[in-house]
Amino acid sequence: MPVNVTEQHGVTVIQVKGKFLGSLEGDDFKQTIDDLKAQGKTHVVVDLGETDFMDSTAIGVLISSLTSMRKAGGDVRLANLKKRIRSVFLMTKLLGGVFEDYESVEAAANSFETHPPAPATEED
Amino acid sequence: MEPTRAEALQQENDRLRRAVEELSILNDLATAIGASRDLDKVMQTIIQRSQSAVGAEQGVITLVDGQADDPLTTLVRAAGSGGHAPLRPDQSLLGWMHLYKRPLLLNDPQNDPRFQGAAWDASIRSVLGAPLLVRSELQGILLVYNKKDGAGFTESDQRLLSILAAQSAQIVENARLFEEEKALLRVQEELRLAYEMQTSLLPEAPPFVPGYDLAGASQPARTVGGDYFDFIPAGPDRLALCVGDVMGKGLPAALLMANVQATLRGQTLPNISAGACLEQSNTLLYKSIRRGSFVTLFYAVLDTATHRLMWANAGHNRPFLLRAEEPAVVLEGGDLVLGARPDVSYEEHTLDLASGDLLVTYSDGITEAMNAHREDFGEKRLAALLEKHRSLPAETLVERVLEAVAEHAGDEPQHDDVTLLVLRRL
Repeated sequence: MPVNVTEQHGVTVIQVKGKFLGSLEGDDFKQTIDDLKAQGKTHVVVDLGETDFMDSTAIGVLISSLTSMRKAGGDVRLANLKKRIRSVFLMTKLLGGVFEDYESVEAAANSFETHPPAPATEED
Repeated sequence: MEPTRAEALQQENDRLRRAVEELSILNDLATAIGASRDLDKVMQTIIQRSQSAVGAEQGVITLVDGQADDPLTTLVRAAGSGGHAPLRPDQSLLGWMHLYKRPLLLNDPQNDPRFQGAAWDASIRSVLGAPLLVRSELQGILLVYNKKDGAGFTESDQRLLSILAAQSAQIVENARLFEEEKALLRVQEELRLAYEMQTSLLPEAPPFVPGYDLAGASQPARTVGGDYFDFIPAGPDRLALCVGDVMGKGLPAALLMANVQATLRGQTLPNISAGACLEQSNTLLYKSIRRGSFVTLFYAVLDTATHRLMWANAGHNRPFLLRAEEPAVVLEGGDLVLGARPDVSYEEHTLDLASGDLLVTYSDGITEAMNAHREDFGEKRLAALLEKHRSLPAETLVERVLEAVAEHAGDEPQHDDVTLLVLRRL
């Protein structure tokens, strides 16, 4: 199962191991997000510690997941980005401007306590 | 007691009549299916003929995927008749058929000890089933429900359904293969369309700009990615140039690219700044593209009278600038990709170009081209290559870089488009 969902530190953690390709894992991932949203679990940490590669479609899946969760009053925060993936997020300015990333799942989970998600804007 | 001669003749007559009936049913089936290769039609015909042959109320064909690890979980397709949606065979019946691959007759299914766990539909009184076997592999199951006279199916019905199933299996298989082939052709056609669409959006040749040497090229990968470059007239003495990468691959990427091009061309107004153009394009794209879609784009407006280049970068690879004898430097600075968020501002940068200055904008297909040892081409290699060939004409320089990337990749399949745009002030 490439998309793995667990509950840790009071948040939902989604892990994608190996290659994260939008065309392959995307549907699974979106379904997971929809299911979590339906259950009211909107504090989500995506653990990319064991993700070796992400294509642009997979990044798009993360963006739409983030939009979807923020609409529901939650957020999607990233943890354990490998250097290569992090550099793509930095170049595209998706880190900082859109996503927040943390050095560990625990730190990402705690961030929901220290700064809870802001209400979504109209345009989302 | 020996049968009398009359009785023996009667039996022989019955046997022959049944054989003729069977042959006529098979002949009917073959005629009805005719040359049809439409899987749904073929299945419907088989179901109808089977139903009337054995006098059943309903019929269903369920195809299983023989190649899957667990064929029972991969119910590929079901077609049925009988006034309402096809009754999906119970998993335990599928399992039984997969195991035994032989006909099954159940005149009291609710109480059959073999299917105690099965959840039979309340309307089912009797079941007759036969496997569809191709080269001994289970391809599907032909099931009929509820004998019309209420007495239940007979051995003779079972024999007939087995013959029908045996005749049908290869026909269904052929129709299925034909369908797969059509699907494959559709995918190839889609890729061809995407390729054509993408290449038709790209400029055939750079415009002639006095005092400048311009060249651009893009090579789509086998799967057709979403690289884009363009030269857009922006009023007297002004030309906009851009290199971008839209998210995704294939036809969706090509469509998104068409949208991006139309937006940028519409927003490249005389005297507009690069930052304002990206800001407005982002607003338009955010509204019009699917959530989660985005585009990286380097966009610059060149003023050929003042030799000033105004640029903004929406999350795209940082271009290289090579001045006189100096080493290649990266044009630092950039903002968020286009289409991901509303209300993004894009910082405008300016650059005064001196004679000999060279600007090289590219897509990540170049720096991320992998060789067999999983080493990417990388920015360092690109910078060194540009420094070495800095004095070549723009078009030749583009060719050199593309050759070097192809050489680096060797026989490794590349998954991303490769795009390069070179601008030199003469």
